[in-house]
Amino acid sequence: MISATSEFTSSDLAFMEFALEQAKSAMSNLEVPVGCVFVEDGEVISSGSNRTNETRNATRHAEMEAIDLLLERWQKAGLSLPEVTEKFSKCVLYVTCEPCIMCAAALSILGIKEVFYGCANDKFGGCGSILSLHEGESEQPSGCPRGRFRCRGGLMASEAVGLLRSFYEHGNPNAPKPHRPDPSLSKARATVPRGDAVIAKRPGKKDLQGGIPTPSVPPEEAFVPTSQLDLDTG
Amino acid sequence: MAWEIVRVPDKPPGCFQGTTVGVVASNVEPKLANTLVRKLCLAAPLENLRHVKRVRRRTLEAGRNELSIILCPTFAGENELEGIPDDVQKVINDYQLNPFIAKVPKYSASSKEEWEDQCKLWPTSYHPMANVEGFAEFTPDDSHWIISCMKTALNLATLSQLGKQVKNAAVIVDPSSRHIIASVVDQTSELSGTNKVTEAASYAKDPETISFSEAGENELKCYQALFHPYTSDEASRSYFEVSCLYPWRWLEQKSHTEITTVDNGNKYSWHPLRHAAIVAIENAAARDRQLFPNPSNSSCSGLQDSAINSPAKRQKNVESLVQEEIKSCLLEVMRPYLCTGFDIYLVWEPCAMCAMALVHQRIRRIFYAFPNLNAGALGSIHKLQGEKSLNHHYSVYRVFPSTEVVP
Repeated sequence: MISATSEFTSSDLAFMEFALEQAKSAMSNLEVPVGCVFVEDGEVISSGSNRTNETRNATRHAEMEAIDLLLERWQKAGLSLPEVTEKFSKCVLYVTCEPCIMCAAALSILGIKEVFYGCANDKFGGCGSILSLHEGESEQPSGCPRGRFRCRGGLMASEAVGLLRSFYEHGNPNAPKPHRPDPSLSKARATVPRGDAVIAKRPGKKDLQGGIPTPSVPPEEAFVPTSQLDLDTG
Repeated sequence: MAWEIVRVPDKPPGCFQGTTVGVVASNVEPKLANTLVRKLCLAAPLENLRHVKRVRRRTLEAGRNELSIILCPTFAGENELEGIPDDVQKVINDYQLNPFIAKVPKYSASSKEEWEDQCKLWPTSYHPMANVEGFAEFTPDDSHWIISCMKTALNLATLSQLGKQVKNAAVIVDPSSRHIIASVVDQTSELSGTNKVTEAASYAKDPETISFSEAGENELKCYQALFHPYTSDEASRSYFEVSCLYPWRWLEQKSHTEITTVDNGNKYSWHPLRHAAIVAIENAAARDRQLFPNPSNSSCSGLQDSAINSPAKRQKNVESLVQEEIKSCLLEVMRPYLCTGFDIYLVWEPCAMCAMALVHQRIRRIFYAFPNLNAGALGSIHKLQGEKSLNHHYSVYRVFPSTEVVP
């Protein structure tokens, strides 16, 4: 299912550029930089980026954000349920990082047509890396499994990895605090006026959100293995 | 039979994957065995290898017995004899033993087959009733609490039984304070009446405590109505609304929301991904944001005191500012990180989407009552709790209702 990078069209590249823009906007909001766009008949109909830190809901991945936008809009427009399923079946998703197991399962449930992703997600990927949920329902007596979608990776992977690396190099500022508060730190907090205190920033701390010491070498290959990055998102 | 809580293993049963660990062992004279075991248990207890027996007896050719004894774990490395503690070294010297490295199974067996495999290598103990870390890991009080949490979930699912359509229910609890964090049912389709359930069950600002209660006769009947095995089409039809059991079914639905009117305050009148666990996570996050507003991020909540940042206030009273800081420090310490430390109770085993959502949200333990043979990701189709690459691992338990509930 995952084919070489050479076969991407110029519009594939353009849509992925758009997804990367979404990822950058996530990063400027101190979110793990993953972004996506949904495309129907060659037009972008929805976009999303990670909002896990802001919402304190670790399931608010880019894909989920974009999907909710679509469902809300289509229902407000009065589309019936069969009309919505029909629309999803024509949707193509461009996402900067391989969808995680949760998102891949969600995309399968929605019955979307195709997914293009940037870098692989070696720890959480649901489109071949860990599980292959893009293959749809398991063992159907009728023969045709529901929820199967085409999936191709490696589209502008180096750009996607570059964003993730630069994010983790600065540390995730929304990482959990240590269980026991550092006494020297809380003392410092108590004496610094609030306006100047940026206490949330604590670089170098390994975070549960997925920060891991990041390699300093810039990515060169088109399809970079991301095993050293802890991609909690996508 | 009474209620039972059984751990759902994170690897396929009966597959001893040969995970071993090196120990320092020696062959000994049978008459010395008792003395040596006593001395060694004091000098070098096998803390992490409680399932491994200290002594191995093997029958060699010509009917001779060979007795081997584990002296201590390895310290310098898997295959190194270096680093033996002094107490053990003294035993070795006193009895002129010849230490060597032996391999023993690293983990206790989770099935009889695995145990038999292990014993070919080195004898281990196997407790099928305790189920590795099963029921025995809970005190009677804990078990009682766990069962009442599951009853809460079963009750919710029962309440949702309008028009004979069963739904999955999810209850997130904080086991340390024994408070309910969120309790919901599936919101994939909003049939008339279900709104009431979800409203009543949405997260509580004042935490409610689960009360211990024995199931009354009515309760029993309701539970029984919840669960029939998938015997016929007729029977399984009433489970079509259990989102995790039939995640793809919405694709084939033709009817019930021809005209979708979106209520005020509700973004969707139906949503194929709003499975109970997903909604429960959303409510838990909403509770987190409300109870612990983020002082450094104004986009998060409208509850923060904007005056804190004004220069006038800053100069006004250093003392009160310090107080303010200490207070927010305390809040920061008390504030949960996602659902770390929380448990979730589900009537049915979750699908892959929900199971992975619970990984992301750092749930500590998952309890479910009934397996999901169609799409279950915690034992039935996939085993997410056994995926080593994930960055968080929860424990999974099945709570078997008593036979009077589910005959």
